[in-house]
Amino acid sequence: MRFFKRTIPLALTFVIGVVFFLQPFSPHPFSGKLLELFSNWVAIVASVSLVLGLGSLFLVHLGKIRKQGAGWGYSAVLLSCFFWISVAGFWPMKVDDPQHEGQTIWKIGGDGVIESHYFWIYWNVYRPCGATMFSILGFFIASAAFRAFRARSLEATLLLVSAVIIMVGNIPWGFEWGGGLAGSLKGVNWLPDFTKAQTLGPDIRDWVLTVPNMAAKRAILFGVVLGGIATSLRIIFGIERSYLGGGRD
Amino acid sequence: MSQETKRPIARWVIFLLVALAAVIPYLMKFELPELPAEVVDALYKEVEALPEGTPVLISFDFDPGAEAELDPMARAILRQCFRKKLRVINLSLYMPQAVPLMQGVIRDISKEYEGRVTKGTDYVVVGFSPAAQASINGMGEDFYSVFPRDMDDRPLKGMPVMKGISTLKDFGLVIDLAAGSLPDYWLVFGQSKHHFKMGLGCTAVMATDYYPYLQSKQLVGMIGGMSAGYRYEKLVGIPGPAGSAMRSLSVIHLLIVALVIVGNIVYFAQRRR
Repeated sequence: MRFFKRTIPLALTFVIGVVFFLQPFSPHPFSGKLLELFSNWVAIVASVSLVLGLGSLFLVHLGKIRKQGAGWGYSAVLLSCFFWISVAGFWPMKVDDPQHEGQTIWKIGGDGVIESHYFWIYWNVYRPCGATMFSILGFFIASAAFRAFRARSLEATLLLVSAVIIMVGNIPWGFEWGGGLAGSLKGVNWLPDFTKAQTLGPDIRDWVLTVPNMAAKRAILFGVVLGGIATSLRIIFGIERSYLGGGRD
Repeated sequence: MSQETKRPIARWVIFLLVALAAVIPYLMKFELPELPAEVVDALYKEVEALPEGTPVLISFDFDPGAEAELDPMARAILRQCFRKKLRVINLSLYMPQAVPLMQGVIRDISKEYEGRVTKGTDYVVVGFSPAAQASINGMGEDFYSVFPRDMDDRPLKGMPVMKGISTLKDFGLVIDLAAGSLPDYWLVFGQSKHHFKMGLGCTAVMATDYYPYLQSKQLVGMIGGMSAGYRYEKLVGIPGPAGSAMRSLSVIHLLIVALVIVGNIVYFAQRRR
């Protein structure tokens, strides 16, 4: 069993890892075809994983309802919506006939939607709920900014000042005020030139975004990429094996 | 004494102020001044410079949570493309939930240009493909292996809108409208490999992540958040949803700045005591 559960997956990972490490360097058409083939396989596996995810979701919540565990009512709501949207998704809908202009046909899925239960649910339930969830964040951000954005230390002060610059720089009035302020700063010799630009608001905002922000982001990006390369090598050479899962061999 | 009453301003007061700051400016009609942004102007100029008939790929990679920020950008870009008579190929790689939003935007804007744009000749909706990384890799080798048919189930090959397109390299510009990590996939597996011109429309919180790609010229321009979307609408010259949303957003930003200042005054006053 160990041969099937460990040796074969490790060998496959090594061979495919090495092949696709070298693939971008090969100009041969076969290399491109190989990438295309594997890309299609990945898309198929991803599609199947959606079905697996739905199956898992269904079983987990069904179990919760059976046992009547904590919050089982929410699971019941979830499963009702699950069936409601699934049935609506497969319900035929009236669409423009792409072959004959001005005529309509009934079909499952497609563009040019006229009537559909699925789209009714999408536009009238899912979309408002999704937008509401995100919009509520605005209230919490305002409350959190008031309670937590304090100049307690040098680092906190820098963060606070940057945040205020970006917020003011992102509103049209900030630009106008910046212009007025820049005019009054023109005679001050010791200030750096960018503070005297007519577009003070966006100029300082852009400076924060393109100099300190970009330096930090680039450093993080390099760190993440180097970490990714190290992890990939560990997986290819079989040092990192957690993806194989636990259990008996 | 409860936690709420100990606070200098109770949470419900802040929530009420935010609600008023969002609703009142949205209902009032007042003109906001110009808000220049170099990176937004760069993307606009890039689209303007494309010759008539150039194929442009737009990837709609956002869900209703980010619709408020990205929908105005999508509308402004589509209007510009249709005005410029560019061929627009629309798809989504993010999640199936993005598809109805894409369909809604395209349906509205194509109606505005009724008689001037035709489905299949000037624009096409090719739908959704899962596994973004694999899909981008696949489109880089053969576009039709990932999207063989459009959403009306018609074969894409041979459609006038697809003339001269076989891989991602053949697009004059690729624009990703994203809320999430999709731009990373487009940049790593698409742009850096196939060297096509790429623009980005994203949420404000994402924008800071993509400045290094603007400096390296992997992105020709970026529309980051509502204020940038408002700028793009102004450049295109047709008022859209970002204008009214920007009025609310500007007042909320001022309110948050004011709250931060008040919070710090209270903090230092309490420390002195």
